[in-house]
Amino acid sequence: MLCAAADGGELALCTGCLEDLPWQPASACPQCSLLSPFGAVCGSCLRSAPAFDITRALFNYAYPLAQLLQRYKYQQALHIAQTFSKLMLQRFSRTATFDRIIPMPLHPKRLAERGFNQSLEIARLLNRQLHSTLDTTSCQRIRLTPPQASLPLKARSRNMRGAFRCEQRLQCERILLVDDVMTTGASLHELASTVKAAGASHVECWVVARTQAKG
Amino acid sequence: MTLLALIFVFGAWVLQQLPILPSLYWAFLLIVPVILVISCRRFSGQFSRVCHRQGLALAAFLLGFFWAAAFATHRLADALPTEWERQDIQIVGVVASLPQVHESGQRFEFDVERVITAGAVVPRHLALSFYTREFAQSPEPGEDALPPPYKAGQRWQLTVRVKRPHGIINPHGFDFEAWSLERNIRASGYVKKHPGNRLLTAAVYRPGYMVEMLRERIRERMDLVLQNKPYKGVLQALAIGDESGITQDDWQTFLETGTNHLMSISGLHITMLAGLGFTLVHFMWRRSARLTLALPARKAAALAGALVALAYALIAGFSIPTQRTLYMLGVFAFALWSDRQLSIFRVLAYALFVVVLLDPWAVLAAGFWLSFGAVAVIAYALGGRLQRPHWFSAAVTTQWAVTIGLLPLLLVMFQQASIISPVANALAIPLISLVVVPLTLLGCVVPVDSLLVLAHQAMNLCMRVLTWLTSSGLSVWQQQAPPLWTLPLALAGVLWLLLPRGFPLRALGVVALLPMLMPQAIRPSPGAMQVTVLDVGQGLAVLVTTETHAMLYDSGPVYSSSNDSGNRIIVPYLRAAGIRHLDGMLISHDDNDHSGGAASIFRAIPVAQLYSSLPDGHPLILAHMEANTRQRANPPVHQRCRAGQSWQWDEVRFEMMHPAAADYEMARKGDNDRSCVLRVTSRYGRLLIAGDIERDAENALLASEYALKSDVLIAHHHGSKTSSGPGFVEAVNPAAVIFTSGYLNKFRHPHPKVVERFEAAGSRVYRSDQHGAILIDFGPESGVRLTPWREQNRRYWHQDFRRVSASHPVASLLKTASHAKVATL
Repeated sequence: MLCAAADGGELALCTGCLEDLPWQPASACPQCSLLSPFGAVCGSCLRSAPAFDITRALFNYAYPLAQLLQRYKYQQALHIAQTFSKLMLQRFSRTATFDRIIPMPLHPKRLAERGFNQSLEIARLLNRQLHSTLDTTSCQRIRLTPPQASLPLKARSRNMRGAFRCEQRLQCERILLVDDVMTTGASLHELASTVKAAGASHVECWVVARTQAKG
Repeated sequence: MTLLALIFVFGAWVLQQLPILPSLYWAFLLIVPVILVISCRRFSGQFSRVCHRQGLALAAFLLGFFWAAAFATHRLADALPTEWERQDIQIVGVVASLPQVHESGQRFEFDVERVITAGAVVPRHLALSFYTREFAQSPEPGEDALPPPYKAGQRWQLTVRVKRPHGIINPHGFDFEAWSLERNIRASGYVKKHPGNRLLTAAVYRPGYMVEMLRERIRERMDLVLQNKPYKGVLQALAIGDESGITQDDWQTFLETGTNHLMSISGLHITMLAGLGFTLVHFMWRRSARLTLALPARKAAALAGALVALAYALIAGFSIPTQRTLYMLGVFAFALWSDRQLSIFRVLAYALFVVVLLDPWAVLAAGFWLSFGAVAVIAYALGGRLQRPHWFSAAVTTQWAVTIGLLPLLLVMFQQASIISPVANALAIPLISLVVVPLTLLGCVVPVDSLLVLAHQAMNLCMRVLTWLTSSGLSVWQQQAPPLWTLPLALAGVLWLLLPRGFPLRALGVVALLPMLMPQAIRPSPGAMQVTVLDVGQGLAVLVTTETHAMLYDSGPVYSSSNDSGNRIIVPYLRAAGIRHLDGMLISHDDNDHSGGAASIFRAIPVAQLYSSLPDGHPLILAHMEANTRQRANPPVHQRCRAGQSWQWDEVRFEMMHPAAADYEMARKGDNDRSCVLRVTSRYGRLLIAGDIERDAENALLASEYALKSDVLIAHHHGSKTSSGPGFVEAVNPAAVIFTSGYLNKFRHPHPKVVERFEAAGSRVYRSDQHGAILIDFGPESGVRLTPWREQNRRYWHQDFRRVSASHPVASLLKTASHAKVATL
């Protein structure tokens, strides 16, 4: 139950609350999901293309999403994963085909701290509908990096460099990466490049919330 | 959904209030709401939406009602036929529960597998006692060498004598018959000494029995390690739910400090232990990345918590209160497991539903309302706040909320509440739940004796604090039973009091509590009186109240070393009736069934004037004197009954008619014939109580100058054939006669001849074993009106005991057709 009025229901949200959420606008860059007029590929992606091909985000990372995601991650309000995964399937696709779904891996130490992997729990539910392969083993986080949120934007992509390792051959596979928040896209970019280096042909990112550049 | 679950529970509750069980054919009524719901679904619009909702509510109510009715019908069908009551029956079956050891033997539940005696019919589940020695006989040295023979899980061939569950029924009293029904004990009795009794199988390996065997193993281990330590019984109660080892004094301490709920394994301990399991697994699970990826730590922990709760509930004997908690935790764990977030109130509603679904009689138990009430009150007082409070202020609020929130329920159900309970609980809950219980359980599982010893030391510390708290003086609030209309008002007041800080005038909620705290007793007008003939089994206790005075005639029997009708029946009744002291008490003579409860009464409430036929040095007289000295009451305190004594209270005249002073000199005169005989004359009628007098005293009374004619007679000597001769019956010629005799008592009182004699004289006959307590009003509106409590308060599980007479040998039952007249009264 995310709002007080909803009596359970699929999403645990009433229609009113649902409409009030800061939905991601339709006119966003298909590759990085930043605002862009007419939904064209944005300038920064044109300038230096990220490793992933497509990004879909449900929300802007704004009130109350920030608070909701905090509760989800740090207070283990696991039921929220249900809402997120159902909305993703509803808005993005119920039928998309991927060879593999890879949730953003957590470093084992971070995993122990948190007690669960927030991206995995969403991915697990997505996979129930998409009938792909949920893969939590082939990609590992090998460096315990400081949390991205603690770093200035510019340092983030440096921070992520070489953070992942992929031990699996992913020849010509279509991969879905799942993460909770995409801010600069540095982690997803790094993961996507690792996956592509392992042979993947197409990489799509599904995230709950996308930070829109201020201004 | 929440509301529908509550309506279902309400439906089951309504059924449990009925005097007779409705036929299950009425369940076809369910068709009405079903049609309503289906037809409303077709149409849209405001009206049909309302109809739809009403239909669902009605369906939920009827479902709850008939669900409970079906359970009741099924269980009542498994009954002991009256012709097999108190007959020797040979059966084969399994000891189904951990046998409780008491002072004169063992008590256990027994699953009947096969009946050997031809033609006999026995319910499937019995409660049996085994007596190693006669009742109330003190152990002889060396006698205890024989170990109790029965162990859980053994298959025995036994010869038993059983009877249907029959309880004494008093206003504000405990309903044993309801208790037995809920526990599926459809007959109880004892194992008869018989050469055919033999052990057939040493251990029957079936899951239920294996749990009981394990519990017995644990008890034996604790007996061995703790030997004669004072709180061994308490630790056993905490580990395996066997409360028989707790001494009466300790219980008193727990009761007075409001910590008695801690001693029975109920919600608190299971929840705490489940919480410990949760925390531990939550901590450990995260150490492994593989496990955490497979399953979030929180879900694993929820599962572990639920399993711990299940294991503890099983070890604790899976008693009904533990099941309740288990289902509640189950609903929580399920919600967590299946990614649903439920509000605490919804969890409570679902748990209520599950409990009632599995045990529709749960709504009858005080514990049911108290445990759900406690959780609801805590959730209400702490939930829905903007900030998490500091743990200390949360703890204080919790104690305050539980104390004030449960007060109305406690007063309605028990007429008392502990004043120091918040303090005592604040100390005892963490100590017992987080130290004593885990240590004890660990000590039971791990063969390290020091764990148990350590647990005992912690318990010792706890007891010392609690005893100190009770010694601080006034610790219990007691009052008369408040009228039921004050309950909703008081609950509203409590809700107001517990509103979040910032609401104006919260303290005003107290006002709504006042009517409950200060009920006005309805006392007779001057010249009128109320008489309560309490049901104490085989024995006598009669309370006479006038406008401002109260007098008790006799005090009922002793049941066991720690239970007598004084502390079990009379004192609670006096408290509920708002009688704080007795102006007079009379002990007619020194028989257990008349004087047994006296000592407990002296201990509990002040008794001003005592009359008795006992000599001055008698222990009871000394006990009364001692109690009066303690309470600083004024002498004279004791007078021997003597014909000619009389006094008047509120225009009601009390006259002692027997014994004469000379009777005390005659050594050959029996105790019974020296019983004090009291005549009470109100403006509206006369009552005669004659103890246990027999023919000699009757003749003496007939010869005396007193007029014997009375409106109501408490039949002397329980209707024995040695009393109530034709002349006496004719002289008294009562409109109503009351026999106070126990169900199927071994003296076969009252004797049918005596009953017949009164009937022939035109008296209406009442019997405490068939009518329960009997309330008699001598008042201006009613004249003389008798209210048999069993009929007044009839529930469907109260069998009609009027059909069978205690005094009849079963074979001759059909011959005495005249007895049917009693039944039609």
